[in-house]
Amino acid sequence: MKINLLIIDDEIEIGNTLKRYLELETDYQITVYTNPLEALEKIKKGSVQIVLSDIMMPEINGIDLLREIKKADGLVQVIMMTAFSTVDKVIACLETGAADYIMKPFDDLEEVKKLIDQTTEKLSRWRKLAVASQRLNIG
Amino acid sequence: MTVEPATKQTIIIVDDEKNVRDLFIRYLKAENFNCLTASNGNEALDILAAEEIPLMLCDINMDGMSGIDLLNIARKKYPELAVIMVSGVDDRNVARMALELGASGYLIKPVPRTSLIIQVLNALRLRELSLSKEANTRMLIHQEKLAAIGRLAAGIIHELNTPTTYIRGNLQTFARYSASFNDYLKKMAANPEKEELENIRKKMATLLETTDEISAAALKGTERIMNIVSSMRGFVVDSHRDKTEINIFQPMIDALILTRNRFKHIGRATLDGHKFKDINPKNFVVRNRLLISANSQRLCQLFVILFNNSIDAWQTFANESQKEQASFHLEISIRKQEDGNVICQVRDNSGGMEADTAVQVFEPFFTTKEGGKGTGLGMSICQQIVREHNGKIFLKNYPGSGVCWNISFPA
Repeated sequence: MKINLLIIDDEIEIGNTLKRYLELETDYQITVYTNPLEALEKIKKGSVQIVLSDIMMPEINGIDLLREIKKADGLVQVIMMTAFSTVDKVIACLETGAADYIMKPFDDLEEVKKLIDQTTEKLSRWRKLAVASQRLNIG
Repeated sequence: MTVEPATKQTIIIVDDEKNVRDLFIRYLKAENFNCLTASNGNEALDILAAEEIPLMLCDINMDGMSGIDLLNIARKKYPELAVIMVSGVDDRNVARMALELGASGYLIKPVPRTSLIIQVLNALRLRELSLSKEANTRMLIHQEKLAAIGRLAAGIIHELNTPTTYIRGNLQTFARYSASFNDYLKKMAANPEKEELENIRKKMATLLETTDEISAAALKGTERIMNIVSSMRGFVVDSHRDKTEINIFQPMIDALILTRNRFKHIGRATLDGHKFKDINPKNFVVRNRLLISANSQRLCQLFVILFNNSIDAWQTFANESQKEQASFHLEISIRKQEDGNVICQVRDNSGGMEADTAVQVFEPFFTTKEGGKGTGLGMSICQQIVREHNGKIFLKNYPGSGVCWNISFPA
């Protein structure tokens, strides 16, 4: 199964940059959104596994978006992207359930890729656990 | 008990009568002042040019240059010099003229010892006070400038971060591409099967296509950085205030670029009906031209102060009225009137001002911001800049809704 990865940033070029690199280096199915509300609609329909989201956008702030995503699908792994000026918001995001965070400008896109890979592994462990616990409940 | 001042202050006594000079010297030396004397205006001016003297006692009726003329010349040349006039006649008109020319005292001969000392000490005290007030004002203006630059810097750091992120990211991707290219070339050199060869060709073609996207994105990023840098240059260079023929849209666009980071997350700005985020700065100033004689840098400063004030006011308004969902609007229009004057209108939805605030808004040191957050000089600097351009600025206040600044520049 291909992993669906959503990138949300109001600057289209940031999204495109990540998409180009990750498409070359991974098998993820990548979609770029500049409007977080449209991205949220997509997430609500299910089938999104990982989200990379900017922390500050005009339509909705990062932490509110994160809450909405978690409400729609608690298993979606969200990685926040932040600049120095918004680094104070990261802690609140992690407390609200963000999987991790990365700093902009990215030092090395390879590190970003590794972080996404790790998050994917974590996600698959969660899924297995979820399936196992369901079985347990049934049993 | 008398307290000795750290350094003796020097007083110049200008009088054509030697006995008057000697008497004054005796009185003043007893009070621990240094005294210099001159018997006419020219001699006095020579001494003033050579020495730093805080106070002059000046006779009015002298041969040659009159005391009033000397007062006039000396005060213009040395604005920090305090002057007390001394006269044989009690003439109300002369006294008033002396006061208008900047004298701080007027004494009638014969001068009682205590009157002289009191007037001298008072004149010196007044001089100290006005000097320290000037220094304070200069310091506050400097602080306001520093604060403005600080606010700008925070925004600009963020503005530079975005293009830097995608230029760097794209270059990293590009480096990967050339590695892939090398791999494919090696594979081709190994004479693969026809099907495999076709496959490699396709992959290389896709890579090439994306290479174009990469270079376009990187170029776009550098252009954005260049725009920010050039608007910034407009803001900081303050050494000369020469006016040239400029396109008024240029400083307006520069100011929007510089403050963009402050408003883009809370709302939007429109310029003549176009959303600023959809505007390509370079093309816009080429297509929209309204020439006026002005200093582009000063106008950029003016607009930056106006925008920052609007944003600050909106944030306070949004907090107080709990309108968290509402967004900030800045509507700007620039047009030429029939009489040739160019009118800039800057309208916001910051909630407007209290009636008495609107009255005081141009007063130096007037601020509605919390202590320490504003020096209250922003709008008086704006007014100063508009005056330098022989323009006019006035405010339309819509309490509960917003304000509209009208700034007009002569043709």
